[in-house]
Amino acid sequence: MRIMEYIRDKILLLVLHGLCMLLMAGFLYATGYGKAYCMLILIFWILILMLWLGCGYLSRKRYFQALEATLEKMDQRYLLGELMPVSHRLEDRLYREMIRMSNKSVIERIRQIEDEQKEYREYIESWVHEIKAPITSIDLMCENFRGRECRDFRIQQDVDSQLYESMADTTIDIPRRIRLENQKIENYVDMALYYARSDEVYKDYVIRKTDLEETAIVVLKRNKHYLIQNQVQAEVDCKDIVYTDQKWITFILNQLVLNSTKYRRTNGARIWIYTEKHGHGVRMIVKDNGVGIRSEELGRIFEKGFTGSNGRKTERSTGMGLYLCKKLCGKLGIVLWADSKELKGTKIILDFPISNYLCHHSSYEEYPCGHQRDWLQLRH
Amino acid sequence: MHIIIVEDDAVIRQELKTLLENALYKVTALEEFTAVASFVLELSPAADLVLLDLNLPDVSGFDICTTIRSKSEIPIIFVTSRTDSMDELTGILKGGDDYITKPFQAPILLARIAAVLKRTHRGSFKEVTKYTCRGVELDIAKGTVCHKEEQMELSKNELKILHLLFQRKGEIVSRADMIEYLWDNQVFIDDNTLSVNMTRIRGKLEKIGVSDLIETKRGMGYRI
Repeated sequence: MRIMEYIRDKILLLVLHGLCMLLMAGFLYATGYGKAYCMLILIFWILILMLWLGCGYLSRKRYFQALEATLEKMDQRYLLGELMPVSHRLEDRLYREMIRMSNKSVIERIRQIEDEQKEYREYIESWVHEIKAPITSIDLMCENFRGRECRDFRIQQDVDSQLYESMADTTIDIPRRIRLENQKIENYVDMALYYARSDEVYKDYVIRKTDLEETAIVVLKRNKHYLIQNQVQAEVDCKDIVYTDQKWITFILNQLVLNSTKYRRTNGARIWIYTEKHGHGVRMIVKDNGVGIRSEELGRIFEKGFTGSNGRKTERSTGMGLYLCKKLCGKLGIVLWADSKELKGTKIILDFPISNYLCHHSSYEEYPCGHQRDWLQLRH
Repeated sequence: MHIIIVEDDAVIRQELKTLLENALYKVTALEEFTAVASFVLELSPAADLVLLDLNLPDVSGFDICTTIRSKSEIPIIFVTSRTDSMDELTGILKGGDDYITKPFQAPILLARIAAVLKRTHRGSFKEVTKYTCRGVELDIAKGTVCHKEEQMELSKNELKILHLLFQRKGEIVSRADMIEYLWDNQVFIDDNTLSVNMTRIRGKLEKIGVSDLIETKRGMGYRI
């Protein structure tokens, strides 16, 4: 609030005073007072007016400065109504009351939305857990079917090879194909679960010594039907140990392996998963020899909903996978970035931090929840 | 080996039973969950392992585990669709030997069961490390194949392929099954590489004087 603004705001009052002054001076002059008297009265009038305006300006200025300072310090600005400085002015009190009422409704609305969101998230989580039972059943059925019917069939010595081939196309491969689709369902369901949870990572993780080799192997085995069907070869060489949450890193790695398979080359597709020491930390690299990413798109692949030219060319792409990975990595303190040459291949790199605290106290292998935050804070 | 299944989903229970029976375990699947712990404890001869679901009607798997653990050291594997880290931690702290989340893959479940059983029955388990067929001997521990006096070293992939064929002697093993078996055993190769490996194995076998051990069934697979 500047003085000129304040004066401009009071312009009507000033004009009124000006008019009154003219009228008064005219009246006095007409009734026979001398010029000097009129001038003296006007000067006093002007002085009193200026004093009044000056005081008003200062008190207003102080009031709004206090208000601004409060606003500045506040975390949730919509709570201003509760913290407004007390003022004796009627207008201020009225405004304050109104702001409080308006804020109250905002707070109520926010609460309501938060509740709805929480309920929805909880529903998604329970739904995911429910859907996993049928997925498990389907997988087991396929496994048992293969074990039962096909082996009996295959043991017979003199099966006509042509008959077998036609059988192989129809009966025998069906369980395998169902399992492949089932695996896809599982992956999508997992994505929904982790997306629902991604805002509350801190509620559900246990940082512990994690063998990346084992994690990579679990991921590859999990997707073996999909990878074998697409003629992908994989190599794992992860000798380094990191401290992270096993479940989340498995999910992230799973997404990366699926991406590498999705954007594979037609012949001789390969995936390498390996680690190397990098400064104080460990670097994990998922490398493929697939179609690669255009250099102009490289910077955007971690954006939500970004599909890029590859995503549109091959299978349907949601643009969620890498976005989620980036988000989760952020929460776990892992730096995730990509390097790629179009038509040559892609490298997705995960930089794990190793905190000094953990290095010095390596005898603590597992950390219950309470310590996770300390650990994360250490590296920031 | 006797395994008790405690699972409330009827379909999964049935399929798990079939799966484990196919893997040559003796299986009891419980359908009533009111007295699981006492059933397990009173069973004689005692079972060798319990597969325990966490979400059962009326009772929690954790409570059952606690009750069993207070009296018995029988191995318990939790099987659950909950993926919470805290649940896993609780499971292990309550005395569970392993924790598997649904959906699991059959080979992984079997491997974990075998691992837990092996740990608890140390010594009583004997793993087969030598196989013979028509005068050809495969030694898993040494990683070699022998015929008469001649011996040949095998690479990791070749060893695993031969291991599978020897295990399923007389059966036709399809290429798809073979690749899946290899993936389950940490060899992540594709169809072409499998062909290359098969050719190498044949070459090695011929060098030690075996020429027709592996039979190729066109369009079907291989058989020893």
